[in-house]
Order: sequence, then structure tokens, then C-alpha cells
Amino acid sequence: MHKVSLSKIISYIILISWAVVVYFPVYWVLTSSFKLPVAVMQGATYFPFIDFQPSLDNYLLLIKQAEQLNIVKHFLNSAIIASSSSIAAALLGSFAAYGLVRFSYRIGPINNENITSGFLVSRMVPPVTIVLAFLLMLKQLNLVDTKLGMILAYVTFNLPLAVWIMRDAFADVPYEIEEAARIDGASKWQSFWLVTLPLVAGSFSAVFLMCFIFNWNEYLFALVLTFGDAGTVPILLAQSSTSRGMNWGRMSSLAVWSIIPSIIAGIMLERFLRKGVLAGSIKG
Amino acid sequence: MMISVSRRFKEKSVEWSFLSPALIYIILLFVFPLLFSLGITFTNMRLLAADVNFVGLANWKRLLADANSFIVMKNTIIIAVLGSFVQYLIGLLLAVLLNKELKGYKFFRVSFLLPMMMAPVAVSYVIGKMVFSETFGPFNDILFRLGLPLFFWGTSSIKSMLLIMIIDAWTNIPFFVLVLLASLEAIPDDIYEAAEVDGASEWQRFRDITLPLVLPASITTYIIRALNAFQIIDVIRVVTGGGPGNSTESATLFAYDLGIKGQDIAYAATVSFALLIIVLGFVFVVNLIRSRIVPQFE
Amino acid sequence: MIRKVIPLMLLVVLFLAVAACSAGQADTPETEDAAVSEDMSDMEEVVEEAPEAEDVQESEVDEDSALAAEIAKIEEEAGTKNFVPDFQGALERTSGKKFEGVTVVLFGASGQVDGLLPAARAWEAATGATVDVNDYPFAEVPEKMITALSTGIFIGDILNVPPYFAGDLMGGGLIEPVPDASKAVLDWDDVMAVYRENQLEWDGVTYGYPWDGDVHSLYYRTDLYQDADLQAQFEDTYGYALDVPKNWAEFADQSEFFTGEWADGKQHYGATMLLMRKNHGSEGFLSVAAGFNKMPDDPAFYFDPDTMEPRINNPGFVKSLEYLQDLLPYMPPDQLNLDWFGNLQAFVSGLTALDIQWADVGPMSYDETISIIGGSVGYALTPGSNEVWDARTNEWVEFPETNIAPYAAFGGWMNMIPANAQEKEAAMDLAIFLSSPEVLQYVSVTPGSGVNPARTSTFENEEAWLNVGFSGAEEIEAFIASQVESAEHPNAVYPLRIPGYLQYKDALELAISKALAGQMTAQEALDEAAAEWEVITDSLGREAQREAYLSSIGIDS
Repeated sequence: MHKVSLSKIISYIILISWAVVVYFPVYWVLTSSFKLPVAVMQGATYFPFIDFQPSLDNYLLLIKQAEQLNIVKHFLNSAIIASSSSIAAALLGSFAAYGLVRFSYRIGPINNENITSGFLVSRMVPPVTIVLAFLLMLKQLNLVDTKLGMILAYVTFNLPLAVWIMRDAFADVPYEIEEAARIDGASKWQSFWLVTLPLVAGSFSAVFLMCFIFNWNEYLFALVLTFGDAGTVPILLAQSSTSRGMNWGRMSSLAVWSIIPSIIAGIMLERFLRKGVLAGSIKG
Repeated sequence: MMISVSRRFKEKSVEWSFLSPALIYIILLFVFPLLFSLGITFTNMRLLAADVNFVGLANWKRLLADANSFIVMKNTIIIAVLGSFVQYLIGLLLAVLLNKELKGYKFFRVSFLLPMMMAPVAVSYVIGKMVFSETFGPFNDILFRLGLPLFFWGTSSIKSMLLIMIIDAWTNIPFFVLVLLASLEAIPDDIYEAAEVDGASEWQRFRDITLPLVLPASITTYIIRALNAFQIIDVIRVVTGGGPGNSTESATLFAYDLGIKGQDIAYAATVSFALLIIVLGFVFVVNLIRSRIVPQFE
Repeated sequence: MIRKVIPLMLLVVLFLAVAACSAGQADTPETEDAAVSEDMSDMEEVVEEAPEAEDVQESEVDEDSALAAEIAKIEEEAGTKNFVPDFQGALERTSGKKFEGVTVVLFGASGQVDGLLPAARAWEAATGATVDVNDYPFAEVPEKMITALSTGIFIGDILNVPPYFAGDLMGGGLIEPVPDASKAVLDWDDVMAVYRENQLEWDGVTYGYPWDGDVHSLYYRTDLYQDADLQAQFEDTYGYALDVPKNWAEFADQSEFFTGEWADGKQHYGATMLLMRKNHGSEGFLSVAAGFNKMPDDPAFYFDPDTMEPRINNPGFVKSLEYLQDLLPYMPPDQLNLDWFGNLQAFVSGLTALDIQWADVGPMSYDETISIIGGSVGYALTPGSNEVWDARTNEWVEFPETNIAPYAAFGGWMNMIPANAQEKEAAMDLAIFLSSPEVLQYVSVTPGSGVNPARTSTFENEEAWLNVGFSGAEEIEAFIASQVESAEHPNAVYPLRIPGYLQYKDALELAISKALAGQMTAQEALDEAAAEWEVITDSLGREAQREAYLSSIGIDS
């Protein structure tokens, strides 16, 4: 009995200290956003009203500059780019994964296994390897600094993940269910849309959400492929680093806004994962 | 006869209509740029200059003669291989503790996922530039108040690297917690109950039941995370810029600066291909280890 | 069946893509619409104007006075009680055309571009055009601009950028030259020679509109240097009187002396400089190296003008880097990660006693949001050296009178109009407005604008400098003297500005950073950098680079 409570105490100590590690930077950026720059530079102060006088100046300035900074445009860009590239990747990935599970393909010596590993290998390629080629290619297509260009890029990086997770999801769907539909006269595509896809809706949503979080926070491609018009939220955040020093007020309030969509996505994702959606994919 | 051939053809076409969109997409937007990048490693292509010449293996020779390229590869490997492993250990510990479903675990569960949702760019500014600021950051201030030696990282290669790894860990441990917790929860309770009846201690239960059962998921998760860490750029770019010297510079940052800032895209592509080779080597080695320690899954 | 399915699927994908981008492409049609409607409104105006010329004249008079009132209001808002800018005067230099509905995109560094906006409002009011900002963090400005211009991507109609891309951009035909007519209305001779004859032009053609002037100078805390106790203490320890450092040896002594606990009980440091890699890292180093290496009768500094062999690993440069290694303990602990503003803050927040920086220190020392040292700043030329390495003869030369070589670091922000600008005419009009003596006067005396004087006339109106908060004529004169003397110094060193500048800069900064972090000796680090410079020179063509270098230092090849 005594032993159990000791292990409980240790567990709580670890959990609480990690929670402190997680929350401290968040707390710090929030309080700093209420400090004037000179107060930030004068050394660490911890508690509003106790060791520093909070000020709303940073936020007022942000509101004043909202138009100049194109804040709405950046958020809209991110929302459109992240959600449509995630949907496109999840759909294309599902089609391919379904095909790879149900049918056997041959292109010369290449079979299903090779194609699947091909998709996986493409996940291993560091983005920097193709980002320059991507820039030149988009330039030829006149798609640099457009949302479509960004979507094309993000789908490329999301597809392997989608194929990988959806393949395991489809593999778990018993073929008999589809067969029943086929006997009723449904075509392959019909039975895919009407029977199989709804059965893996959980995995599909998880794929979508994972892609969404990735796309929402992605930086390298946004940095290289946008020049002002199609800039996303991480680009906007980085702009808080002005030649007048870091604009902490702008940074922190933007950071708060920027994590709201991904937190919603994250909480939803956690629900799906708890239902064992990934169980197949992570078994090894 | 004719009918059955065309029927078969039709059948095949429908089957291909599932795979071909993704396949064509990957070929056009991934394989093609990849081959293009490979191609330019044999040229002297620059972003600004018009004439492009074939230079054979000159870029690859330059890579092998370039001490800095070895340093950035070494840095990247340390961050990806070692950093991800430490993150895995911490993530596993937290996942195991959360899985005990102690009172209030729901709060911890949601809290622990928070860092993953934040853009690494923002995290880097907040932790690297504010919390760990050497002159006005709270970390050093607290150390000072406790009478401990201060953490001055700006001129120290090792401490700068440590800081990069701390920030990377802060952002990415949630990923391990998330996936490992999911796989821990999938372990049926009765196995533990049986072991408890047999008088196994908590540590024994962890070692004999939990660890073997989460090992496959662990390795997969580790590979995914390490693959991501091999691509690290934003944290380093914001916090140390690769410094001091190039002691924290990653391969991606090195290639980015060469290609975009220096306009030397041929050499940048060469560096990025070297990184790709290292990544493939890493996956090969981990898979080799996996086949040793997880034979039942092969 | 397949015939139906495949097109259907392609349609779905296409639909998704198009749906996703419809909003994205809405931008483009919108601007087209705007352009069309703008044409329409122009036509309407023409149609209306013709028959009712008299009315129009009357309403024009009304409009003119309304406009004048509006501009007067903008001037008042931008100014202070000591100084009201003359935007009207600046507008009179422009073409006077209307650019109704036109949007001019201003590309620049986040924060730095803000300095252009208060004045630009007057131009917006007068022309009906809109100024839109496309800004990136300072560190990203170079790569964004080079990538965009070299691949033909539009990033802005006016680029507010440093001149050190001159070799890549001006020499590459990517920038519109400044027409003689524009120079005429801009009182071109009033622009200081450093900028007029060097930074703003390439191969005899002017490409840049002046905006900001930049030379490194020395800033020190007058309150400390006048403190009798400190003076006595210093003389006891070092054997000579505490006075503003003339050479780097004195600078080092005093940095050591001021490092430690001050009267406020806090840890302070002697000096701060610009040493951050991939930021201004080479500039702090070159400020030191200038004194050790720039022979007054040798225009070359970075390269041997005959062979294009780098000089950066010769004993003079090595000594400069070793000097910085020894100085490091007397600088703030995060010295290697201090960017421009961090450096400035370190000084004006009272952390250090000395600073090598641009002229912004003067105005910013009066900005109470970051500074506690307003009124206690002294101005002087960057220290020099009493021994100078002559790279032509390979020997040290003694200078009984200190060899002073101010470094025109960075060379000043300027405005350029790229060849792919979409609104060239309006952009040129705005560029003229912004570079007028009136606007430059205004921004130079505005704290936080990030702009320092590039015109002689900016110094003439001493009254205007009260706007900064300066304590009075004495301080203003000291400030102006240090700036003018630095900028017009015959032995000044200019930033390297040949093609591939960013690569050269990064290689040098890597070496500086490695040596200062103790990973290598100064000699090893600079040898490595010199080898890298050779690789860069060869890859860009040695002869072409040599010609570019000679042109950049004003020697005919």
C-alpha cells in the first residue's frame, strides 16, 4: 500500500513538472505581451501588477497595424491552403491506398509492394532537396506566390502519409462487405464511395487533421515559394522580427490566434487516435 | 473472345483509375523535381546567371573537400538520431504515467499536446529568444536567484546545440506521447492483472509486458520523428542562425543558404542529395536493428 | 464506365484545386478589375472634363485647397513642436500626376519600411494612389529580393534595400536606372558623395534613389567619461588619462575597465559591436579591420586588385580578428547573437559603455521606450590603429598619428525600381518624393525611423535635430561632426559590392563566428574563409569579378 502511494507521488511530481515546462513559455509570452519593450529589456519580471505594470500598448499597436500587416490575408491564405491541400491529399491518398489493397498492379517488374514503398520513400526525402526545383517549376507554370502553387507543394508532402495510413485502414475492412454491395450491382467506384470509404471515416479524418496541422505550421516551403501574396501564418509570425527588434506584443497575440485552429484540429485528432485509428499503422 | 479482352481491359482501367491520380501526381510533382535536382548537381547552375554548363562531378568533389559540409551533416545527425531518441524516452515516460489514469490525467493529457500545435517558428522565438535570453530571459534570472551558474549559450557550441535540442524536444515530445499513449491504451488490461496476480513489480510489468508490446510502435514513431528532425531548419534559423561558427547549422539550413541566399543552387542541390543519402542510410540501419529485436514482426 | 469515371475523378481533383484557389486568384482578377475600372473612370473624367472646363477649373481650385489642407494635416501629425516636415515642398518635385486607383507595392524589411510610411501618406493623398507594404524580416530581405528578381517574380514596385547587391542587381540589368531628369529635381549634388558616386551607382550609371546614409561611428557614455572617480581609477590602472579612445588599443583598455559591477549594482560590459553571423556579423569585424589594414594611398581593401587574391587572411586581418577574440570577455554574453537592434538596445539600455554602430544611436538614445541614457551619449570617429598592414609590401607600417579608416558599413538603405515593377511611373514618382531633401530631412530627425542622413542639407537645419530630443546645439554639433567626418573621410572603407556579395559575406562571417566561439584560431578561420572566397571568385569568373571589384573601388581596369 505504502509503495503504491510513493510511485503515485513520483508520477505526480513528473507530470506536474512537465506541465510547468509546457506552460511556462506560454505564460511568459503572454505576460511579455503586456510589457513595454524597455521593460522586457530591463530583465525578467514575473507577475503583472506585482513586479511590472501591464500595458495594452502592444495590442493597440497591433490593431492599428492590422491592415498594413495584411493579417487577415495571411490567415485566410493559411486556412485555404492548409484545408484544401489536406483534403486533396487525403482523397488522392485514399484512392491509391484502396487500389493498392484491393487490386494488384504491375508495371513491368514493379508490383504493389514496390509502389507502396515508393510512396514511403518519398516521405524520407528532405524537402530542401526538391524545394529549389519546385520553385523553378512553379515559375514555369506561373504559380509562384499563388495559393494553388502552395497547395500543389503541400499535397506532394502529405500524399505519402495519406497512402500509408489509409492502406492499413482499408486492409482492415473485410472484403465481404464490399462483395455484398457488388452483388447488388454497384461498380467498383460506387462501392468505394458508398461502402468502404464511410467505414474508414475515422482514419480519413485523422489523415486530414494530421495533414492540416502540418500544413498550418509549415515554414520552409512557405518561405521559398511565397513572395507576399500567398504568405501564410508562419510567415506573418516571422515578420514580427522587425529591424526594430522583436515585436513581442505582435508576436504573442498572433501566436495565440495562430494556434487556435491547430488546437481544435489537435483535440479532434486525439479523439480519433483514442479510437485506435492508428493502431494498424504503428504496429510496425 | 473479343468481349472478354475488352472486359478485362475495362476492369483493369477501373482498377488503375484508383491508383493513377496519386501516382501521376507523385511522378510529376515529386519524382520529376527530384530528378531535376539530381541533374543540376552535375552543372554549375546559379539562380541569377543565364548560362548553365555541365561540370561533371565537380560539385560532388567540392562537397567531399568541404569541411563545413561534414560539420553540418554531423550536426543534423546528432539532432535527428540522438535528439529524437531522447524525445522518445521522455515521451514514453510521460505516456506510461498518463496511462495510469491518475486523478486529473485528462488535464495533463490535453496540456501535453499543446506544444505540438504551435508553429515551430513561434516556439523558437518564444523559448530561444525570450525564455533563454542571456541578458533578460527568466531562465538565467531564476538560475541567478538560486545561486546557480548561469546558462550562457551564445558563445558555446555545446550549449547552443543543447538549446536547439531542448526547443525541438519541447515541440515534438507531444508527438511521442500521443502515439505511444494510443498504443499503450490498446494493451488489454487483463494482461497486467494476470501479472499483478503473479506478483510482478511495477518495473517488471513495464519491462516484460509494456516495453515489448510498444516496441514496434516505438520504432515506427522514432523513424517518423527522426525523418522530420533530419529536415530541421526553422528552430535553428531563428535561434542561433547556425552559430556559433557553424556548430548548430543543419544540412537543410546550409543548403537553403547556399541555394537561396548564395544563389549557388547546383551546390545546394548536391548538399541536399548528400542529406538524402544519409537519411536513407539511417532508415536502412534502423530497419536492420528492428529486424533483430522485433523478429516476430518480420 | 471508365470513360465516365476518370473524367469525373479528374473533375473532382480539379474542382478541389480550383475551389481552393478561387479565393487566391480572386486577388488577380480584382486588380485587373481595378485597372479596368480605373481606365473607365479616366475616360469618364475626360468625357466630363471637355464640355465643362470652367466648372472643372473651379472645382480644381477647391480640390487643391482641400488637398493642401489635408497635406498640412499630415505634416502636422508627422512632426513635433520643434519641427514640421515640408511634404508639400517634396510633392512639388514630383510630376504632379494623379495615380487614382494605382497601388504601389513597397518591398522592404519589417520595421525598416515603417519609416517610409508617414511621408508616403502625403504622396498618397496628393496622387490618389495607395502604398501597400510587402515586408520580410531583415535577414530574409536579401534572399527574397535576389530570388524574385532573378526568376522574374514580382515582389514590389519600389525596393527599399541595402546597396550591397549592386553587383548582382544593378550590374545584372534588373534595376531601372535613375533618369537624369529625376536627378535634376532631386538636387543631386546635395546627396553626399559617398552615396552619389559610390553606393547608388554601378559602372557610371545611377540606379538607386537615396534614402539612408550609413557609416559606423563610435558612441560612448559621456556621464562615465566625465566621472572624476572613474577617471582617477582608470589613470591609476592604465597609466594614461581616460578619454575617448582614438585607437583600438585604448578601446580595449577601456572596455576592460568598464566591464564589471557599476554603481547600480548590476553587471555591465565595456563595449558592444555587430558580430552576429548571417546578420551584420562582418560589419563589426570590418570596422576594426579597416584601421588595421586600410593604407591611405591604397584604394583596395578586400582583394589584391591585380590577382583578385583575397587579403582577408593576411596578418592585418588576422590581427583584427585576434583583437576581437581578446575583446569578447568585455562584451555582453549574448554578443554573438546581437543583431542591429539588440546591439543598439544593449547600449541605450545602459548595459555597455561603448558601442560601434550607425548614427541611429543618437536619436534612439532619446526613445524612452528603450533607452535610459538620453543626453549622455558622446560621438566620435571609429578608432584606428597605429600600425597598419600594407598588403602591397607585406609589412607593418607604423603610424605615429593613428590611422583612421571609418567603415561605411552597409552603405545605407536606398530605393530601387526593379525592371519588373508593375507600376513604374507611379513608383518613380513616389521614389522622387521619398528621396527629396524635405522627406529625408524629416525621416533623419525622426527617432526610430531607422534612417540616417544621406544628404548634406539634412545636417544644415540644426533646429530640426531638436526633434530628436537632443539636448541642444552642443550635442547636435558633436553628432553632426562625427557623421560628416566619417562619411567624408578620405580613407573611408566601403562595403564590398561585387556579384556574389552574400556568399562572400557569409563565408567571412562563418570564419569570424568560428574564431570568436573558439572553434579555430583566427588564422585558421580566415584561411578557410579566404579559400572559400577563391572558390566563389572562380565560380563567378575571376576576370569578371576583378573588373567588378575595380569598378566598385573606382579604379579603371
